[in-house]
Amino acid sequence: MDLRAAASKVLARASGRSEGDLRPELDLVADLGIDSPKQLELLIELEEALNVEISDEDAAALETVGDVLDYAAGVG
Amino acid sequence: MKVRGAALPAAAVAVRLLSGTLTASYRLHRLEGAAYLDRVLEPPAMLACWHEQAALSLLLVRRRLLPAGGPVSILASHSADGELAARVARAWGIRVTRGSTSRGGREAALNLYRELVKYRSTLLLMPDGPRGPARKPKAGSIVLAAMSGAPIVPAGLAADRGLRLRSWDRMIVGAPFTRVAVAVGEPIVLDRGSTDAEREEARLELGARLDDLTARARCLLS
Repeated sequence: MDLRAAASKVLARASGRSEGDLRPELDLVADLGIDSPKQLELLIELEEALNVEISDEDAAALETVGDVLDYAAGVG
Repeated sequence: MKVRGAALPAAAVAVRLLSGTLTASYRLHRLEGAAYLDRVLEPPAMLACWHEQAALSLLLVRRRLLPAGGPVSILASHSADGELAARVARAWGIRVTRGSTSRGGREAALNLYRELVKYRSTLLLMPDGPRGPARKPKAGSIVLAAMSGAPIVPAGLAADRGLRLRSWDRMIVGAPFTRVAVAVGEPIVLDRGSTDAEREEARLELGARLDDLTARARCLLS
């Protein structure tokens, strides 16, 4: 399973943007408008898509699109 | 209350003894909505009350939730106060999930989600916590409900006699042997397919029900 692709789909759903618009430098909050409640939803869907339990430390580090995609790539 | 370092274990024992003694002395004067409370005993589920009533809610935890046998969970922050609360809660047999409240508390909320889904726990939830504004439910509790499918069962609690702390929520601590009334309301149920508008409506409804149930609990005392 391509975990980066799975994470990209989750990000697209959470942000309401197309996957092609998700540049790595985009900030989840400032650029994509993923507010705190939606961040919770994002984390839950990421865990399910990646079949992993995201630690508090890793979750805190997920600030940009690139962070999320790199995390997903590192899980596999 | 700030307790740190070497004083923490002693403080935890003192708070546990005090809270246990006080709660044991409370007289449950009226409980309205027992059928709704039964839903909380079929986890995963969330029992919600305003943060100001958290101390009174221990009455329900001790007399209804814990005796049912299933896991009961609360959230405690990583602060020194959170550590104190965690030690007291664990001594009571309550599962404690720890979480940071940085970046809006998403990590804490994720841990709560796991308590519901993975451990099928009954979660004691204060939707205006951890620091308010008082009586304004946060959206995180609604997201938890939507993503987990667990119902939020709202409750209002009132004590005949007690005092209000000088905390952000003016927390109520019942006097020894005070009468306590509890009003439990219809659960709020959501699913993952709920829209943003539906979730916002549910958030506002949760706040309204908690206010109404609090007023109802006060009426039950008179």
